[in-house]
Amino acid sequence: MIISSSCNNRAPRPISGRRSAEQTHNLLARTLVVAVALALASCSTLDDSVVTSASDPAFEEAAAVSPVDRSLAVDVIRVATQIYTPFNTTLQFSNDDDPLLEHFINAFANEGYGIQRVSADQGSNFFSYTSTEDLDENGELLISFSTSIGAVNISRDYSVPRANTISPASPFRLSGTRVPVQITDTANGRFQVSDEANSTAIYVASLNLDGQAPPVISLITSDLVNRVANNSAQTPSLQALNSNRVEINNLFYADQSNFTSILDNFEQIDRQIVVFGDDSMILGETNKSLLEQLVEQRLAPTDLISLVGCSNGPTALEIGNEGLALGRAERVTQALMAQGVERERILDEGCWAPVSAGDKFPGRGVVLELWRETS
Amino acid sequence: MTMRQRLTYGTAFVLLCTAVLSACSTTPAGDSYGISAEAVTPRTGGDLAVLEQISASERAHLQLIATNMVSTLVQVPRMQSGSVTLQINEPRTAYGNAIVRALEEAGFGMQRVSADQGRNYVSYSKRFSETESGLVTDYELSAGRIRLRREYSVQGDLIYPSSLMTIDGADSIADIELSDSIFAEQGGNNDAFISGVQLEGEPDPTLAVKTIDVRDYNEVPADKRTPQRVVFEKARERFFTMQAERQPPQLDDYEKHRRTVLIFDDNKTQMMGNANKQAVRLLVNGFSDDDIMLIKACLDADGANAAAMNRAIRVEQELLGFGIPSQSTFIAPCARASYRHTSDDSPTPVELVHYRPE
Repeated sequence: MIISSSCNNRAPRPISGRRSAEQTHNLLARTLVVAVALALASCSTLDDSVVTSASDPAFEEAAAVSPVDRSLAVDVIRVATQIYTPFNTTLQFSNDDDPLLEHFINAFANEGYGIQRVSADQGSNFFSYTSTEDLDENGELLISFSTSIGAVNISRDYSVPRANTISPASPFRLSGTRVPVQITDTANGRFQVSDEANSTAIYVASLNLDGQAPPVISLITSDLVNRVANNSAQTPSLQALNSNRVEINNLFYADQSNFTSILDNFEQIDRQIVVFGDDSMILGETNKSLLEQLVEQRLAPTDLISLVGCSNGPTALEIGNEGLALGRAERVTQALMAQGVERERILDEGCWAPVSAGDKFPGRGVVLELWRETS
Repeated sequence: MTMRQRLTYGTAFVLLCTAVLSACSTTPAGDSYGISAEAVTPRTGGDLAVLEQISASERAHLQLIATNMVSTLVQVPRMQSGSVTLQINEPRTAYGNAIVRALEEAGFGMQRVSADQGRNYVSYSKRFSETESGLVTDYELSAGRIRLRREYSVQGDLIYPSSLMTIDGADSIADIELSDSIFAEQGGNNDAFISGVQLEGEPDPTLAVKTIDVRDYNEVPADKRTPQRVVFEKARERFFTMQAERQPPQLDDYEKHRRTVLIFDDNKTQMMGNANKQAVRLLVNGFSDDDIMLIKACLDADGANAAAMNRAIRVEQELLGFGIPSQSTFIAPCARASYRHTSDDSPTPVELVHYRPE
């Protein structure tokens, strides 16, 4: 950006020792040549630094497309214009730096189509093409050229009888449309017609879905909605957020605590179960005093408390087992915090299911464990 | 060294200096920032020669103006670039080329016409005016019935807006946000310009106008300035984000009619693929004016999920592309139905539900 610094050429090295007149002459001449070269180079650098030179592939398109590709494009566009009316159709093209794609864009624009450049594959008439080359049984190059415009696929095989010349080797195969098209293959310098039977179009049902599973559109009936809702209601979720907004696994399914790694250097020194009433998150006086005793008599300043809120069995509450289990854990957390236990020392998680967890966890309660750092 | 040799080298030295100075002077004098002609020439068509006749900094000014105008246009209701095709003539002026290139970059469909055919025919103009505040240049851009107008003035090498953006023909301008920060990125010498949008012929007492002060320290290095493409992306995003914030109508008054599940290859891609596009195509076939389409892209988080929102916006773009009106599409808020770890890059579902009034 700074002119002076860009023009600041390095000075020639000082000449040491005595030199002949011829040597001096040669040296000065070389220096002059180098200086001119450096000066011009530095000025061209300067120009670049001032003007951002964004090279644009669109301007290099013309030379980069081979005569074969041009002939293929002409052949395809002749069909496409019969399927889509140019003046009320906009085609979408990706922003790829592809000379052939750019050639198609210009050709379609000249036909009067709207041209829209998109970052992915947006649009109802997104254009794409594939070209595969192979050798036929006679050892001649065979090109399978396929283009998609929206739901319509246009494909045809071509042989290359000699350099820069193509000849249709199959009829057009069209899918996604039943619009009648007329195929008029006219020979010219770079397009040969060797078999007039290929000058036709056949309509096929296949859709070019890129190997993806075909789409499933379901008609939503009340029965379907009820069935899905029932299924969802019967299966407990696998994960949820605890009262500290930490992602936790449902311990009904898991074999170990979500906080196992934190508890690695701790040993369990006490375990209590706080029992709640049916479908209730009320702690009650008995449970409160149990927690008070735990905090006052057992809890050391560096101890951690882990809580597993449980709700395993049928519930009539709308929040379900998950809400009930995590709500109970949160209620005990609040009670402990009210007694001065810091939030970060409480690790709460949950176990919920519409059925019993057996001996693993209580049906309605909070398992409370006291953990002390191992020395 | 002989006298003759001295004379030869002396002459050569003088020639060298002249060559250096003339080579250096081909750089536009005083230009602090400029862009190449290719950067403002439309990708399809366009007149490169006319842009090569003006200086690099003039081209940069035109690009800023075109960016400012077009980023406003994409926010005008019913002018969303993803679903609108504009009709244009072959541009013949530098400003025209810059405008057409900007419209292309913004994602509008561009259709070349020979006269003024089409519902969204684009016209533009640039007028010099002598006013009480000095020389100003008035730029205008029209697309169909929408017309944008704003004055800009050049101060040294820099250009700033010198009026509010005036919009004519739009139903509402409430949510339009100007991309005026691109002018501040040039820096300035205690300069200031006004920023705001007004509707033509409708004085608005609640009009929000702000003054943007530009200091030398606001200058952003040339390679760090916001590219035109990003300005347009942000403008489009703003539209879709506001769309997403709209509450869907009371769904109790509707019945679920049909649904499909689109599968994106991973958590980041914007490519839908042929099968998904086919599913959308089939689903919108039976869409009526009173129907609504609900996009549920966020099924694995509570609150916000940027990647899911991008997917939802991508699907909404697709629906608009298939002719579904923007007021009939809604993005459902995040609701946890499954668990997905943030590092999970497996295929991702987006549910599309078609509702019909009961």
